[in-house]
Amino acid sequence: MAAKETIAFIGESSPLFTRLAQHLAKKHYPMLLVNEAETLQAKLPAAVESISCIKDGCWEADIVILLEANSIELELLEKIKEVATQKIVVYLISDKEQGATDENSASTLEQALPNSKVVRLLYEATSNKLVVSGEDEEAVAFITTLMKGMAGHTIEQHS
Amino acid sequence: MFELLHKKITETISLSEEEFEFCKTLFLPKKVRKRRLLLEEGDVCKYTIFVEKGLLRSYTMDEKGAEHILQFALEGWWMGDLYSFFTGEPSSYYIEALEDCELLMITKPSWDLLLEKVPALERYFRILVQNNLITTQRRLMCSFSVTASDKYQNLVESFPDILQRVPQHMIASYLGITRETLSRIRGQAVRR
Repeated sequence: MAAKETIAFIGESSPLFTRLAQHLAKKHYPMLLVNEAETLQAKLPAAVESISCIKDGCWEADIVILLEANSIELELLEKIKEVATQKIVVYLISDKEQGATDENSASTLEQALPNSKVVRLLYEATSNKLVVSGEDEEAVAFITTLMKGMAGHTIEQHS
Repeated sequence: MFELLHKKITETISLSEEEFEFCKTLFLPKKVRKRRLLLEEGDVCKYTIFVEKGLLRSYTMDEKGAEHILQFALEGWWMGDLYSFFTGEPSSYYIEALEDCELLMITKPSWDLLLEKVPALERYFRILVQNNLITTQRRLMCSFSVTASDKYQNLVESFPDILQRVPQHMIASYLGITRETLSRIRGQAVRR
């Protein structure tokens, strides 16, 4: 169904999130920024709606993007597990956080969300490159296509 | 979230707890806001949809932009373009949420896996498809041979809920009559 997928971002607004949101807004994707702490509508790009309930945000979404993979908490994953089944869950990590944190994020996510399609999105700040990888080929290909054309960034797909 | 699906399935077949737990892992749960399109003409229907809460409609649009409603789906009903779902060909339909909805959606590969791992569901889905065929044939026959008034009466008797939840112009579109004719029939029904 190519009626546009809804994308939920979980976490804090950041410069990278703003660039991602602006890119996806040009492609007319409905977006939600999910943050339990506060509603942030005033600071968000126009195409993004703010929502405070994590479960509802993920329930409404087709794709979930975790903006702060380095601070993923099991409690949060437990909240979204039931509504993230069969959905693509992307965890965004910057090259500064690679290594042990990255491996922890991957295994935590895959164990906590066994029925979701987990995709890793690595941001290499120095080269402005986004590297997409994961086990589910279809999900990786979809996220790569979604990110393509993002101004000033190159996209690379790893199987 | 899966209570109604469980109820509907177990009305037809028996399923172990383990089998239903597996079933749950293959459905994509989705909350959808009113007026959101789930399928557009020209796209492949990737999901067949079970309505846990809310109301969907499927329709086609002619070259003049007029909508022709094919089906409504209330709680406990399934919705999708089966032709497109099974063949992977583009759909001729639109599917829209008429109310805020809670849906359970399944892709063709997941559906195949489900039937392979839980063969008892073959019977459930066979009966569903069988009922769908009967309804489609009956609707086709009605379009040739039943008066507008009888079509309306059939709808009232079969799905009284729909009349409370769907605007009149959509009821008219579903019955294949004009709004004016529907209004006249409703007036006659009230007078009777």
